[in-house]
Amino acid sequence: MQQIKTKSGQLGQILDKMGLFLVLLVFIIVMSVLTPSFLTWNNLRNLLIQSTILCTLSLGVTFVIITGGIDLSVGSVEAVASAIGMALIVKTGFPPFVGVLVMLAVGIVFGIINGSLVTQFRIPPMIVTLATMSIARGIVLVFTNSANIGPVPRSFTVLTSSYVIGIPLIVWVVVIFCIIAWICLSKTAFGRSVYAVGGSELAAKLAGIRTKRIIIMAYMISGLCAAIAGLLLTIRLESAGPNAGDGVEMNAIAAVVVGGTSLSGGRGTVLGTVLGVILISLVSNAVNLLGVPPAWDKIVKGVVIIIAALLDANRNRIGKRSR
Amino acid sequence: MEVILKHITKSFSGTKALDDVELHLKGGEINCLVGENGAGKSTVIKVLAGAHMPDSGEIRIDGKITVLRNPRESQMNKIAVIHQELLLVPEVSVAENIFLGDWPKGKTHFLDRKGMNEKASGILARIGANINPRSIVSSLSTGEQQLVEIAKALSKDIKVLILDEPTASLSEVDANNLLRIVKELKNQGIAVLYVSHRLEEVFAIADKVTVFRDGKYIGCVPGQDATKDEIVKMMVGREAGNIEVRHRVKEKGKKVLEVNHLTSRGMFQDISFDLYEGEVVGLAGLVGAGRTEIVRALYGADTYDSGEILVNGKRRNFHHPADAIREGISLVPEDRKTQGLVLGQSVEHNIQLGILKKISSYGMIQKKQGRAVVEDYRDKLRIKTVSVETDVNSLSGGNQQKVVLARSLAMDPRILFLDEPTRGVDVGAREEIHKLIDEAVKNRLAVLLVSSDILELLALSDRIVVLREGQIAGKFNDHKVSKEEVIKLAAN
Repeated sequence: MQQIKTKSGQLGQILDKMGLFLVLLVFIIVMSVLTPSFLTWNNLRNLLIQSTILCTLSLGVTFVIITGGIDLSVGSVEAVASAIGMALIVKTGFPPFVGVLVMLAVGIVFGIINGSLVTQFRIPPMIVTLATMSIARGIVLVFTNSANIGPVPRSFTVLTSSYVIGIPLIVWVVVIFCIIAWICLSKTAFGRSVYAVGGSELAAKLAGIRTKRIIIMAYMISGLCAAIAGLLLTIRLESAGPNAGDGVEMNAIAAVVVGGTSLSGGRGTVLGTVLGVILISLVSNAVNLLGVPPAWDKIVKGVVIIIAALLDANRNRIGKRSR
Repeated sequence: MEVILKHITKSFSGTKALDDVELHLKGGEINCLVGENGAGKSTVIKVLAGAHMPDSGEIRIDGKITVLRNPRESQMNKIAVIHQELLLVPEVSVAENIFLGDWPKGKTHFLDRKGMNEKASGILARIGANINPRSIVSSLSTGEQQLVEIAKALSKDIKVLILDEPTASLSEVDANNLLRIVKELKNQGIAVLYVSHRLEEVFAIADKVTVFRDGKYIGCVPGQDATKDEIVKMMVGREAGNIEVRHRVKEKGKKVLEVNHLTSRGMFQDISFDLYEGEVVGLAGLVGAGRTEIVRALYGADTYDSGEILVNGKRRNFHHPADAIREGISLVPEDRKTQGLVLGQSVEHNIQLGILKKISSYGMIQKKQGRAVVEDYRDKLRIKTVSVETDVNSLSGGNQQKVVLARSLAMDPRILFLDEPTRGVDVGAREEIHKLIDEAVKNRLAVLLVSSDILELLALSDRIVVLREGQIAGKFNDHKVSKEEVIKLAAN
């Protein structure tokens, strides 16, 4: 029976699944030809370290976008978690682990606020998270007094200073996050519900899924991931800054969408997001290595996003036609 | 002006929506078109509106064969259609809506608001509607909006006016007002085609009554000679033979659901009935009679204002479908595409949607266990699909409906609400679904059935509750009731 499917359909499916791999492969080959410094251990390790924070943010955003929502606040939440936590540790002398717990709590609270406003008052997610993005950034400026808070406790830097198989611990930690997110989305009842809510909120509700709860949970996960990203950023920069994470929400959303998650909800994978993150990080890396003016970084990213969105629109159209 | 349709046939993917029908419209005459759902009324309207080209047959306007290729050509022939759903722009004024796209311009090429409002007043006066042309449309009642729609049609020089179920969502006062206006327009020489489910209305205004059934022309009788019995008989005609009637030998089971005086303002009032295990209770009624609304309220999907619901003798107030599901209730919703299925996801995921907790331990889905349930129902319901991992979107309508039914049955309910379980499903799948329902009922399931197909309702139900305009119009406690009796009660 399987052979009945048309060849073009199969090819499309393969391209669909392999497309991003191929793009990455071509990118890497071209880059290694253009600059000898690209395919060096040092550069690749840097690339990995650079993508850890974006990856953590993007994992959370993936959950939200699969429900059919969007989270613009992640960059500011990342910063506010970092600022509040560091203020407690550095200025008031709380033990570091309390600071970390507060950071995570701040992220979760912002997530709950986002999710509740979206579900209880039916305010469009774009507006809700635009507002909380601004609020969170304001709080950052208050807490930091527009100056860096540092230095970070010694114990934090273990993530960047110790290596396992030549790769910094921070990368391994994020790999574990990815695995947890993947299990959560594809193996659990909760993950199934997230996809169902994004695919058809009404059908999910009538099947007995508490859709509002699921949506709030998704924003909560996004907030938590943003807070963890805040912690990682603090460790990497060794301080909390007023402009930390400024504008990264765009990179995170771009990575998720490039990774094949549909902005209309119901579709997306953790693997896709990880590949999207690598591609976005590669673009910055390439621009840097080639000595192109940094402004080009944004232009190239923009083009990549448009191409990904076009592919998504195309997929949707094919999906509709097949019935 | 005279419009004659002859031998019009129109097929959609092999099914004949119109099969050799005729229709005769004449200036100064109201022709009422009646028929059951699927009789071809909407299709014939679309042919006249230029939205559908007939496959064969001819349209003669004043004796001249005319082809209506698109809505514009229909308008050029002075035909205006008022659809069931109003097509007004809610946030602009009445006058602007009346002249939508054709706003009167002054000498300066700017909008001549004053002139437009005056003209609009003139048209509204012509139909005796007391509406301020400056009002914003969204602030008007549905009845008033309907009149604006008519005024919009009259803003152009029209000779034929087609109204599709114009009173379906109107109060009695508004409906009577509308009927008066339609008569007035007739007296002004306009040819009217009036499509309605409400037979009372039809007899009040019809010069002629045309009956369609299953896409065929059945007959046309003069309005003053027609009797209700005759028209109903022409409408239902076909024998009940093609649906097997189930006769259940049943002893009285346990009462599982009791509904007392359930009321939701503007939707339904004072609804009371019981449901016992091992029986099917059918909710009959026309579109808009409140059937789906009642089911949704019972299921916790909508709220209600007063009344009580008892499940297994205990008073329950469901705030969410999940609450109803916990009490052993399940729903197969009315529209599988928007309410039943998560399109774009696999057959397996769709069937498992209601039993995620049951097939997982510590939150992790047990793949084997889950797959076994799905395969079991795939076999039992004979769902035709390449694999259970196939996108549910690629299945036929009948198989999609079976997927929704499988999901409900997998939840192992004691009470099952079925809302239009065979709508848009082919005959074979319909018969299979009927068998499945019957088997489940034999296993002591209690079923509340909503169906617009009266024959289906009669064949499957042990008892029937007839609804009319949100109220119970009558109850039949055995299945020997005839189709005519039910329709008469529902359409009164």
